Amino acid sequence: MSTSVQTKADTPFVSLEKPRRRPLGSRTFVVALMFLAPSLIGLFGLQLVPIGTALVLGVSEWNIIDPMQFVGLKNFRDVLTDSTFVKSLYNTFYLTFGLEVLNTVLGLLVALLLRHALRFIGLYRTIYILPLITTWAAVAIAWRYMYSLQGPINDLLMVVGVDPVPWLSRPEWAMPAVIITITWKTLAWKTIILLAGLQSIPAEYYEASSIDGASNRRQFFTITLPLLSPALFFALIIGIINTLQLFDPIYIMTQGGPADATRTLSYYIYSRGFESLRMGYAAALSWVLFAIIFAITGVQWLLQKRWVFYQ
Amino acid sequence: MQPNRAQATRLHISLLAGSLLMVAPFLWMISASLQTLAEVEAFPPVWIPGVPQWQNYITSLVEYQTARALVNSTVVTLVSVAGQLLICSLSAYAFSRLRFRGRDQFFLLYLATMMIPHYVTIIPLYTLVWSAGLIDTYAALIVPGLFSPFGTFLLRQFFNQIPISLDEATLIDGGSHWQIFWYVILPLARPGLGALGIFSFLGIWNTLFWPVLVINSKELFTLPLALAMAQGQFVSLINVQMAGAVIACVPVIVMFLLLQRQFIESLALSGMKG
Repeated sequence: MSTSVQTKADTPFVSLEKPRRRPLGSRTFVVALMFLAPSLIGLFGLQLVPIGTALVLGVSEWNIIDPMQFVGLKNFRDVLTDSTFVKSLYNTFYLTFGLEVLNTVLGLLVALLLRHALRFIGLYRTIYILPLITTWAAVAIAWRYMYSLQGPINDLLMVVGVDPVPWLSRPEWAMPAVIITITWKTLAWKTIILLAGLQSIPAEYYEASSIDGASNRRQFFTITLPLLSPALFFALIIGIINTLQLFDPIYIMTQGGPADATRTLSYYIYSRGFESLRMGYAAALSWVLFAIIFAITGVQWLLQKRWVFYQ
Repeated sequence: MQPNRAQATRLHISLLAGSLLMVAPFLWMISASLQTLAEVEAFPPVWIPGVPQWQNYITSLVEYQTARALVNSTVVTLVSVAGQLLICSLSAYAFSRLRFRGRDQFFLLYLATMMIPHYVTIIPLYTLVWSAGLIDTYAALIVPGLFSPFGTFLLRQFFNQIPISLDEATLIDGGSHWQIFWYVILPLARPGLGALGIFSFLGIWNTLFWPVLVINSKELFTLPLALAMAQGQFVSLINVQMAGAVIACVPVIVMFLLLQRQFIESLALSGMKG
């Protein structure tokens, strides 16, 4: 304001001069503030304050009822000697690895099928997406019963001569069962990303290589796979981040059991925080999870030079 | 790619086989929801119910309070989605259309918060809600869904594609930023709003973790929570539970069929899971 008043006083023919640049829109700033206000409140209350609180909680002990106690790095030292943590870390890697392998292979397969201009292709796409959009709680309950000893899955196994499998009640079978269910539920996500990648590959590449006599197999390895690598990379990074944070299927199907066989790190955070009310320890664990996500993503980022091919 | 006839047949067979695997759990869910208790517990399992037991749905709606949960879920989801669309589009407008000091740095801060996994913030958030005395209230269910850095980011991308000359024309005609926002940007960004709308609808409707933490009373259960709790308490009534599961799935499937294209675009754009 003061600048404009001064200018007026000093130079009477202000309109003939080139207008001085105002200090980057002070009026716009007020307008922007009005547009941003609700989001600012959300950013502050739901992101920044919780992140700050998480830092404080990580170095404290708190059961919600008694006053919070500062304990320094004790929580993080405890993590190192916590055998359930180690087990949950193993489970997390087991789940993530199994899921990524299945999802990537099957997702690619389905994407390769769905890229064709076929009749009913829209209908097929819709069907393949249905599991992804429906409520986890609902489908996980259905799967839980489908896995039961007398359920439809064991019935089908018996038809082909396989003995019933106690899917969710044995430690060695629970994780494979959970992986199968999550694959079914999230497959479409990979498929959509990879399909978008496939559709961005120019058809001329295939036409040209067909004229040169390249086989389908060869086209797949020399055209499709290299040109799809950015999409594969993206789907891998985000897929792993999402898997590391899964909660619903574990909560509904196994509650982390049997014998901690499906207690993943994210589920372990929940049990520590909300079953044994150790908020500080749970917060420390969540920072460890964050560090793991960060490290895995970072390593993938560095490794991408070796296999991701950008046009 | 245009396959020939023999290839097309092979593709159809593979796709049909896959489709069967994808819908089988849903078919089983529907079938079990219409069976008698004796049928769901029979071995070998009954694949097709003898006489469809529609009263399982009544039992679920009334005795299991699924009707109440359906209302809760609907209210929570609609309010959250409407609020989120408004709040995100307001901030997206500022980031896309207004030039102010520190805009880009601020936007970067916004994006940075997206990188923090919600696991880090959810425990503190719970303690904040607890300290504010909001445990077991609608506010606890609704407020966190109102804000979304991702939504702001997504809408900003859509807004950026709208020519700035339209804003300038409105400004020359004496219009305000509010008018540009309401009469120019929002109508033209309808696909973007649809994308964010379906995306957050599915996310909020389906969410289980947060309600598990903040809700204790039956009267406030959302559908996923009601399903999870029914599973724990009435283990035996599988058919009624499956009726509840079907009830929870129908609205999302209907919404999805209505906004399918926007959903797939937003997914490919964002890389987040539904």
